[in-house]
Order: sequence, then structure tokens, then C-alpha cells
Amino acid sequence: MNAAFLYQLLFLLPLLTAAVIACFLRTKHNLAANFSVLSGLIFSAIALFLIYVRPEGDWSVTWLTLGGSFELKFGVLFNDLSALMLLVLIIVGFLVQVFSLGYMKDDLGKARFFAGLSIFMFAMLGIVLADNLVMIFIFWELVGFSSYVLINHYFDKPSAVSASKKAFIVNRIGDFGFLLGILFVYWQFGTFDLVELEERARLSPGYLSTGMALLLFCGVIGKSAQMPLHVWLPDAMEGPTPISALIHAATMVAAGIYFSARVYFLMLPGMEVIMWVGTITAVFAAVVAFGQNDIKKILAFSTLSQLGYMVAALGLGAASSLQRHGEHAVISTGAAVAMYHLTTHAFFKALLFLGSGSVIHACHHEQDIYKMGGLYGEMKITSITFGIGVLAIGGFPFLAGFFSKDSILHLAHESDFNLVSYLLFGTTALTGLYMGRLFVVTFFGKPRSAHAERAKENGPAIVLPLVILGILSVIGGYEWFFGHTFEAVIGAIPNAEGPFKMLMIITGLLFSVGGLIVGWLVWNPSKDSDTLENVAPGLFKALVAKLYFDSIYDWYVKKVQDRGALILGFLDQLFITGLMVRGTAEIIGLMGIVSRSLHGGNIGGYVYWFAIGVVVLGAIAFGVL
Amino acid sequence: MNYPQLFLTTLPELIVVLGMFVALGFDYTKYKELDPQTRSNKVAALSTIALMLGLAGVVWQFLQVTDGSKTFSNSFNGQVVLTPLTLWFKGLIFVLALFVVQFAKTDVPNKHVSEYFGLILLSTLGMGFLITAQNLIMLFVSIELISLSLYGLTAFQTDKKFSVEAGIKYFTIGGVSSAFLLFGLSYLFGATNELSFEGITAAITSGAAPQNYVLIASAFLVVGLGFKIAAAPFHLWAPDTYQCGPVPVAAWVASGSKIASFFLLVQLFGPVLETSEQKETLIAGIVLVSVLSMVLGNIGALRQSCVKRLLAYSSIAHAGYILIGLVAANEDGSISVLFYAVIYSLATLGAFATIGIIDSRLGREAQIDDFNGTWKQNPGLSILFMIFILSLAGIPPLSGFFGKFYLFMAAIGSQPEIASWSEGFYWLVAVALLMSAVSLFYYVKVLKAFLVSADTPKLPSIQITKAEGAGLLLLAVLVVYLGIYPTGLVEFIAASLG
Repeated sequence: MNAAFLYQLLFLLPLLTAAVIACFLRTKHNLAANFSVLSGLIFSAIALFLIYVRPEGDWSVTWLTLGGSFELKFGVLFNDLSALMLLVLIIVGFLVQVFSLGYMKDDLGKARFFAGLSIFMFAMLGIVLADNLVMIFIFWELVGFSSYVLINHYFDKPSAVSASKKAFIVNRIGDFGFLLGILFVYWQFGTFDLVELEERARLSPGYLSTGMALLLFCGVIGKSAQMPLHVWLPDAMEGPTPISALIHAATMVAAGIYFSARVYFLMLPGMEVIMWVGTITAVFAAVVAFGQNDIKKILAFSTLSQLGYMVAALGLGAASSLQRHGEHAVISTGAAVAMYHLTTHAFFKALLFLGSGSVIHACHHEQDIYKMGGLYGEMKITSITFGIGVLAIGGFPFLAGFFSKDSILHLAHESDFNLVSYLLFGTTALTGLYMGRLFVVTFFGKPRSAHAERAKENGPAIVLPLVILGILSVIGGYEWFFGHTFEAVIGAIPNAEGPFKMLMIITGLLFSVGGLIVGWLVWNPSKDSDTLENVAPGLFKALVAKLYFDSIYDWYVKKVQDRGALILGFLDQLFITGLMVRGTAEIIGLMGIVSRSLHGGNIGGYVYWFAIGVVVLGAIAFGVL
Repeated sequence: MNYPQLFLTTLPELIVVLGMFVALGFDYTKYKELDPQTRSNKVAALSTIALMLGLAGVVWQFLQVTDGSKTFSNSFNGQVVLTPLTLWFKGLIFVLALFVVQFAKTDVPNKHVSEYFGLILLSTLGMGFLITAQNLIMLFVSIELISLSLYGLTAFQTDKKFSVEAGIKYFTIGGVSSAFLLFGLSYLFGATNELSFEGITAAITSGAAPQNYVLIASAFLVVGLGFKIAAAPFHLWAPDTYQCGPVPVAAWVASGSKIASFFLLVQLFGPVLETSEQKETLIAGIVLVSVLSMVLGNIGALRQSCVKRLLAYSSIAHAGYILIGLVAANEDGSISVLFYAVIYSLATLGAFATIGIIDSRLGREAQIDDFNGTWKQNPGLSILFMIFILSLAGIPPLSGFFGKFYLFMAAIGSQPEIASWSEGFYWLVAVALLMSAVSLFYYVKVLKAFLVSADTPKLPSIQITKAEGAGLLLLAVLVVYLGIYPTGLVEFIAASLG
């Protein structure tokens, strides 16, 4: 089978699905949903074939040729890294589509939702496979667009509308730097092509610079919601829960990590900053998670925290003492570890989000954990799979999350940055604790609302993806799970041995199980209100306000930016609109009147014009003019 | 004469001629009792079939030629030259004619339906022959075939005084320009003693032909062909013809006839401009025409309230833009001219067709005000119209943007080493850019009426026929597609020219 054909098919399938739904199936909701899932199935099958069989050949077409020398290509760069990301995309993507069949069953905008999902799959595929920076940027914006559309799914809710706008605008801020970074790269290296870039960066490392790395990292800060542009992700939970699982936990927000891993060689000079940004985000988000009562918001902050881990891992790879072992293997160490955690995180975080979706669906869209409780009795499968997710994210030994977190902490331990190591280590304890709080309060005690009392386990479309993701959260960290298909990534992960390994197992056990136990003791599920709120109301209030980032941004926009805009608006009215635009328009308008009056509709006049033209051309021909 | 060869070479045209004769018969057979609309549907269906069969013939020829088989080696002294490029453009003409027939059938100007479609088919033939002609005789005959059919079509709305008047004006000025063209052609023949383009080019570039005769001939040819492409100052027929003739005819004049004429310009002038000793003088003349067209066209359009007339002025401006590619006088220039001719005709055909649909439902000529709030009742039609207009205005990522980009780049690239902005064609491109900015004003004014205006819609919800809808959609898709992926067509043209 020809690979080029398969790539084309892969790109076309979700795009055509979205187009067909948008054009013909807007009101035929069930047909649209089934069509979308069927197309997703074929999509996944082709992708699996590409990942495991790796047929010969690649695909690249010249998209635009501008001015003779400048060529823009549209092509595919397929290697172990993109194969791994593609695997994550199709597993989570397909399970979320199946889950949505149940979750969105009675939704009035079901067809629109599935069209949006298809657009997202198309856009994400573009980021995963793109072989040049411009293509990545285009699809980068496209995932931003689809995320906007899907957050905005309940567009009659003002909070959803403003959340979608916020996500879009905050991302645009990051993307501005990202675009500058891409142009910077082109300016220095004269190409957008990833393979050529790697070659040229290797031959002339002098062209690399911290500024370039950090500009590119701006895009990552926006898309992967790192400090200080993290504010959009918690709000994005206004979207339907399957979307939160797919886009805002497993794949799109991880695109920044994937991109960094893909162009690791360009980011090297900025790695220390990157490490710190990741570490601070990890700690910050874990702390704020304690102040949230919305089940999805807690998971959103946990996602932020885990993304922080991945970004920190990227940075640590360069800073780690493991670097001394040999140039090439180590350059990708951080990227490999980050991708490893990205993969396992995709499994258990999608599991947690879909589990929360199952709970929310059963509780008639109640999202406050203090209005749930006692769900374990009626929703056994959801509870057990959710529990597996909680243990996996807490780093319970030999579950998926354990291995990947283990390798990040190992990197931190080997690095010269002890503070980073301690912070990341401490955050693990916090992770166990807030997840323990979430689990205990949601599923145990007695029901705290009428909805929670009547909650029943959901149907197979919802439960089946949970079970599959539960299994993946258990086995998804072992080397045999990956086989040799992703050798370039998985093979580069350093393994902890000896006492450090033992330490990891013990602490993993301690933090995950301990988190549950302490969670039970502190946030006793039989209570109706939050313990922290009762003990330290001031701190709790600050945490509820997410440590005032939103308020500061609001203040800035209202007090600084709006006033600046007012002044600029006045100047615009006066000079640009008034003098230049109106003035020019009036002059040209006058000319229009003159030229119209010369064209009176009289055929004699026409012939004069004609004759004048002939005379002038004749003058030129005879050299008079 | 090799008759089997001749038959195969002109097969598509023969099919269309046959179709035309059958179409003409409709007014005289038992069908003459039927009401005009029913007859129109029947004749349109017949014309569609004929054009489709003709198109199939063209495609077959195209496949044969690209295969490299020797079926069409004989070009009859350049009278019918079949290459991948000429066949592609001939195919495009047939496709455009198909669209025009679909748009024409709902509102036939008078009861002589057969003649209406017969003339459309005849002009299609003329355009097809003009594209494949590389011989002066054939050139003149096909231009006259096109012109005479279009004069008739313009005056076809016999119940409207202005339609007839526009036809007569078109005919008068056309007659004058034909005289210039024929005079120029005869000088060219006199100077080179050759009829085929190949021989003429060889004679001019080798210096065998007396240069000043060639120059006079070229000046006359610019006048004659300037009339065909509605370039200023030979443009004055265009606003009347576009506004007062039947709208599908205006669309046809602005699209098919334009493509054929620009194709001829590139074929005839391209090699001469690249090599002739007098190229400086020739280029100066064409630059003058180009600047005049851009300025008069765009400024004339600013104050128009009738949308068809506005589009007519915009077409004059576009002729000016396209000539920039010609004065670049290199291969990039020729490529950009052909590319722009294609995308311009697609967008303008779509825009005219939309106006035609609205006009016919409104029962009168639509003014810009009539479109106020159309968006609310007819969102689909408004979006399609927006695509056409924005492409004409040259907004990325629609094809109009890349068309202009290639034209301007070709002009700038034609003289790579220059000292200041006033040399080379920087100033010409600057004028073009300025005029494009001016053009945005009137394009956006029309769009504003469609999309933004808060007035209650004047137009009721418009029912469009399936054929019209499909035609508009297909045109819009092509306009968008050629914007997103222009490289395919550009590379094809480049490969076929080289």
C-alpha cells in the first residue's frame, strides 16, 4: 500500500466528515453521530496501519511557490515520535467519540458537536504529521479554532461564550510570539522544513539563540496553558465533558509538549527558563486545585499541573547530569520523558474526565462535588475506573502514571537543580491529596442532593470507554506495551535503578494511598462543606479565586488597556478616519464624478475617446512620446 | 488536405455545430407553439448536452495530446493547433459556456429562444477556435465570429430600448476596432510575409522583418485587441453592454471572451515582447493602456449605483491589472496573465450570475440599495456572492489575491537589477496596488449592503433552480480552491508554455 495515498486519506476523512455533516446532516443528529464515529473508526484503522506497518514512501506537495525561490510545502514527516502522538490521538479520539454517543445523546446540537470533533481530529492530525513550521502554525490555529467552537457548544450560556472567547484570545497572545519565533527561525536558517532545520542547526549551532527558543516557547505557553497564560484552561471546562477529555486534557493541550519534542534542537538554549515555567505551573496548579469544588475544574487544574511536569521534564532533559553520557541520546532525553508522561497522562486523564462525565451525566449536569456523594453504591464501574485513574495520577506503583512520573523525578534528581527536584517531588504529594479529596467527596458518604440520590450507572457507550481507558491506565506505562514501534522515544528514557527506584516505589505508594487516606480523614465524606474552608477561610478564598490571576488580568484590561484604546480611538477618528480616509475618499469621489461625466452615453463621444487612444499609441509607436 | 485528420481535430466543434443546428430548429418545429420558458428549458438542455459532448471531445483530445500520440500532429499551418495548453483553455471555455447556458435558461429575453442559445453556442465556437488559432486568417475569422454573435446577443432584449442601443454601440465601436485589427494584421503579414505565429515570431526575432512596420502593426493590434479586452481608452462599449444587455450575456462577454482574448494576447505578443528590438516602445504603449485602464476603471466604478455597471468598470480595471503581466515580458508574466484570466473569469462569471438571478426575480435592474439585508433572507446566495466579490477585490486566501500577486511579482521580477523605485515596474505595481485599495471601497460597499446593512430586506427569499445553485457553488469552490492551491494550475501552465 502506498503511504502517500494513506496520508491523503487520513487528512481527507475527518475533513470530509465535517463538511458532509455541516452541509447535509445538520438536523439529522443520530445519522451525523454514527457517520462521524464510523469515519473515526476507519481513520483509526488507517492510522494504526501507518503506525505499526510503516509503509514505504512519504508525501509532500508544493503548496505555494512565491517569487520563484520561496516554496511552501504541505507534507508529512513520520517518525517514532509522530507515531506515538498519533497513537494517543486515535485511542483517546475514538474512545471519546464513542463516549459522546452516550453523553450527547439528547443534545440539541449533536450534529454540530460531531462536526466540530471531526474538524478537531483533522487539525490535530495536521500538527502531528506536519513536516514544516508554517504548516504546524496553520494547524495550530485550526485546533485553536475547533477548541473555540467546541467550548462554545452551549452557546446560550453566557459563561460558555466568554470562556470560548477567553481561550481564543489568550491563545492568540501566545501564538503571536510563536509566529515571531517561526519567522525568526526562517530568518536565521532560511527554511521551514523540520528535517532541513535539524541538519542546519547541527551544522551551525551559532544561529540558535535563547530569544528564538523562548519565542517558540510562547506558543507552547499558550497552547499547553503554562503560567502565566494558564487562565483559559479552567474556564474551557464550560465545553461538553468529552471535549474536556479529548482536547483540554489528552491531545490539544499536549500539542505544545509534542511540538517542543519535535523541534527540541531549536529549544535547547531556552531550556532553563522552560524548566522553571513548568515547575512553577506544576506547583501552582496543584495548590489551587484544593480550592475548587467543581469536579471538572479540579481535573483542569490537575491537567495544568501535569502539563507543568511535562514542560519541566523538557527543560530538565537539557539540565540533567545525564547529559554527560553522550550528545545525541541525551538531547532527546527530556523530550522522550515528556512524551512518555504525555502518553500515560492522556490515558488516565481522559479516563478521569470521562469518568467525571459519567458522573455529571448521571447527576443531570450537576458538577459541584459537594452536591454529589454516595455514588459508589449505584455507579460501581464508574467509581472503580475513576479510582484507578486517581491511583495512576497519584503514582501508585506499577500503574501507568508511576513509570512516567518516576522518570521525570529521576531526571530532576540527576540535575543540578535541587529546588526543582524538591518542588516536583512535593507536588506529587499534593497531587495524591487533592485527587484523594476529589475521589472521597464525590463517591462516598451520603448523597448531598436529589440528583445524586437518583444517580444510576450509565449505558455501555459511556461505560465501555471507561473500562478500556482503565485498562490502559494500568498497562500503559510498561515497555512491552510500546514494543519496539516507538524505539526512538521510549528507548531514550533513562531508567532509575537501585535505591532511587526503591525510594520511588515507596513514595509512590505512600503518596497515592496516603493521599486517599488523608483525604478521607480531612475531607470526611459525611460532611457537607469543605474542611479547608472551615479551617482557613482566607486561604480557601484565595484558592477559589485561583490566586487572583484573572482579577489582575481584568484590572489590566479595564484600567490600562481600555484607556489606551480610548486615546487611540480618538486619534484614529481625528487623523486616520477623518483626514486620511475621508479626505482621500472625497478627492477620489470627485474624480469619479468627472470621469462619469466624460462618459455620457453618446456614441460620438466614444469615438473621440477611441481616436485619442489611437493618436497617443501612434505617437508612442513613432517615437514622438 | 487530410480529411480524417481535420475531422478528428475539429471534432468538438463539429459536435457543437450540430447541436446549434438542432437548437435553431426548435423555433420552427412543432415546439414553436410552446411558451418561451418551456422551449427555453428544452433548448438549454439540448445545448448542455451538445456542450458536454463537445467537452468530452476536448478531454479526449487532451488525453491524446498529453499521451504524445501523433493523432493531431498536423496543425493546418497553425490554423488549429492542439497542445495541452490550448486544449485545456478550450475545455475551460466549454465549461464556462455550460455555466452560462444554465444561468441563461431561466430568463430568456425574447421569444426567439433558439437563436439566443444558438448565438451562445456560436460564440463558444469562436472562442474555442481563437484559442487554438496560431494563424492570422483563422485569428481574424474567429474574432469576427465571437464579435458578431456577441453583438446580436447584447441587443437580444428587444423589448428594452437600451439593450438594442447597447448592441448598436457595441457593434459600431466593434466595427471600428475590427478595421484597426485587420489593418494591423495586414501590416504584420506585409512585414513578415508569414501567416502562422511561429513564422511571424521567427521573422521578427531574426530581424528579417522591417522593425517600423512591425511597430505600426503592433500599435494597431493593441487598439484592436484593447477593444476586445475592454482596456481604456477603448473600453467605452463595456459599461453600456454589461449594464443593458441580458445579464448572462454580460457574464459571457466578461468571462469567456476575455479569456480567449488574453490567451491570444499572450500567444501573439509574448514572444515578440521578449525578443524584439522595439520591445521598449511596445511595452511603453501597453503600460499606458494598462495604467489608463486601472485608473479609469476603478475611479469610474466608485460612484456607480447600478451593480452591473459597477462590475463593468471593475472589469476594465482588471484588464489593466492583467496587462501588467504582459509588460513583464517574460515567461512568469505570461503564466501570470493566463492564470489571472482564468480566475478572473470564474469570479466575474459568478458575480454576474448572482446579479442576474437577483435581477430576474426583482424584475428590474438591481441597484446597490436593493441588496440591503439580503443576508437575512438568502444566506447561501450572499455567501457565494461574497466569495466572488472578495476574490475580485483580491483578498487572501481567495484566488484573486494570488492572481494579483503573481502578476505583480512577474512585473517586479522582470528587471531584477534596478537602482531606484522609479525604474523598472515598481511604480507600475505601486499604481496597481493603490488602485486595488481604491477598488476595495466599491467592492466592500456592495458587500456591506448584502451583509451588514440593518434595513429590512427588500428582496424576498429567492428560490434558485438546481442548475443555477450547482453552477454558483461549483464556481465558488473553484475560486476558493485555486486560492488555496494555485500551484497546480500555475505549474501546468508553466510546463505547457515552456
